[in-house]
Amino acid sequence: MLKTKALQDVLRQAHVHGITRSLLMTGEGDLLGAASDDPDSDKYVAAIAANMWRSYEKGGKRTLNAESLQCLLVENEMGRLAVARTARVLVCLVATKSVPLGMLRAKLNAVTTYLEEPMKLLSTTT
Amino acid sequence: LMQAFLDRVVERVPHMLGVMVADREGVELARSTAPVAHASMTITFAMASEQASKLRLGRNESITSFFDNCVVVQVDHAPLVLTLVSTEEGNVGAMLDVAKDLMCSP
Repeated sequence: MLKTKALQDVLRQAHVHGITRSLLMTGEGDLLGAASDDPDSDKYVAAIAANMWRSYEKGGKRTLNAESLQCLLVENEMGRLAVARTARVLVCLVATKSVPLGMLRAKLNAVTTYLEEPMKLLSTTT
Repeated sequence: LMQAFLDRVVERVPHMLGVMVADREGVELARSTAPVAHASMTITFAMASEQASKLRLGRNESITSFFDNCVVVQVDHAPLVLTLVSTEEGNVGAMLDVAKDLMCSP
């Protein structure tokens, strides 16, 4: 069973120095857990992030002979978003523009590494 | 001429493999000599960029994708899309800088 409160606490730990939203979702964009200042739009952001991930994963395999997509970094005028896969779920962090891309990626790596074993257990039991 | 220019750009950044300029429909305008990216990657970017612009974070500027065998940096310069491809050891910061220079070039 997924302990949602514990998961939310883990995701909220990433909320330092400019990270405004942390999401855990399935590859189809269904939200598994979230920590953000604007919970009403979590599902919406998760769906968009998952869709972008799927597009690039497919595109990369088809045109670049890539076996796997490891990370996606999105830079917008007013913020940044990073997505990576851990076990069979996706982790997404949203940050303000003040967070350097490298730092955002490092934080994402830290969260995905931390969640990898628990998410593997979840994948095998569901 | 454009190809020679883009080849020089590729030589500037270590581990860079190629550069392509296309419009958002995937029609290629220019590319460096080495064929590294299919124009359909531009269509992938165009669709993802449109979605990213709906995240309430302003307009999308760039998307960087890290694959197991390469890194792809794509920058919006409407109506064009710049695609830069490097090996997995490529320096993303340098590629983004190069992309900015290309956007400013006459």
